[in-house]
Amino acid sequence: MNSRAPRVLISPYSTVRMLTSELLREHLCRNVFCSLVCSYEGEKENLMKVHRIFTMLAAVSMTVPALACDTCVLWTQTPFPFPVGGGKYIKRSIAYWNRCVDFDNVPPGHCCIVPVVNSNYVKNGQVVGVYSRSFCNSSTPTDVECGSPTSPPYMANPVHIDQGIYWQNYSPVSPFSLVARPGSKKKADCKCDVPEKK
Amino acid sequence: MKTRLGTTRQGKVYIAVSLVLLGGSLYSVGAHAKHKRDAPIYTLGSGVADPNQAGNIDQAVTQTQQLLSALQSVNYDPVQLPDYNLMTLPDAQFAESEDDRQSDVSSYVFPDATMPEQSAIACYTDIYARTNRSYYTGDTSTAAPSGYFIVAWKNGTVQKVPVADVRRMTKADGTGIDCFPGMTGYDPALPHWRQ
Repeated sequence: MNSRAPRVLISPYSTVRMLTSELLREHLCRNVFCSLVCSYEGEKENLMKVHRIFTMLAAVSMTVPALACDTCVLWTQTPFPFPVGGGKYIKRSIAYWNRCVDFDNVPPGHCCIVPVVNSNYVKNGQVVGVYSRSFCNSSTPTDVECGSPTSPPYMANPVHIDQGIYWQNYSPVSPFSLVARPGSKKKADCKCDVPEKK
Repeated sequence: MKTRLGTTRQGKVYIAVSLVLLGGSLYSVGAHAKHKRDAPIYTLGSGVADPNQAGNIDQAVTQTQQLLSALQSVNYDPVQLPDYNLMTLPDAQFAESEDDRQSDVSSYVFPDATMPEQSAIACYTDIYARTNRSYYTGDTSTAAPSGYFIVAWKNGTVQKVPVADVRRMTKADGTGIDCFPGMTGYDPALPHWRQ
């Protein structure tokens, strides 16, 4: 004889599914079709199908807007170079450039892609990210290089204007340096206001 | 007795209700996704008061005049200034750029030999200029510039220049620089500042 008592497995998913199903059914019962819907006690399976669709759609809606935080620093204003040490940082000029920007890890095809300069974004001696800088390799950019089928070349219609500030540090005790210390704080400056992609 | 779906009139009504609910949920999910896509990821300077409202630009003009006088006495070399405090504006706390809000940076740009286009300028500040740029998923951004630049010319003039009058001059290497009325090469037909 099998002396073991029958095991009753109640998985969390089953519980949630059951509760959600009841909630859904309760919701349906409140509407004008209450009597019609509620008469189908045997049709819980169909309710479950609807519930599964709801669950699937909810899952989709939560994953669609994911953004990679790593790319956020690409549009962080870039002090270049940013020296280490004390003293007053003296702003020497402000320059703007068009650049390829991808806020969702998909580089836009109509940006200038040649040449591309990828550099560490160094702030206070720490590498806090990577930025890219892109120029067209001709004074008269072509649509292929810098435009899209629906927009003229970037000279007339810039894709993006970014700002770089050129600083000069003056300090008798801390000479100009661009040495980045190990231990990247790559995401330290991330300004994502959306959940980070898992 | 168990009733099979679709075999009765009530069953058909049930299916219709389910389809309506499904359509509604699909619409709401689509609207949610569109809202997420259309909403800006980030707006520069968001959460920081506009210095043109919260600050004192008249004080900044006065300070710029004092700074210009000091620069004239050191041959426009900011490193030689006796008082570094002059190169930091109190309203830098309202700057759109996070870097400009730091206490150890100058609020002014001091063009050097690398910027011969701006050789007539002793210094200028963009603390009161705002791009109000918003970034969106993909590769889209929009700007709504507002505010002023304060420009100190080596001829002794200090000007408050609206951003609408500022242009972007593109250099041979592809970079753009701020171009103010009166600067060599200024052309109203040039692209507007940061637009």
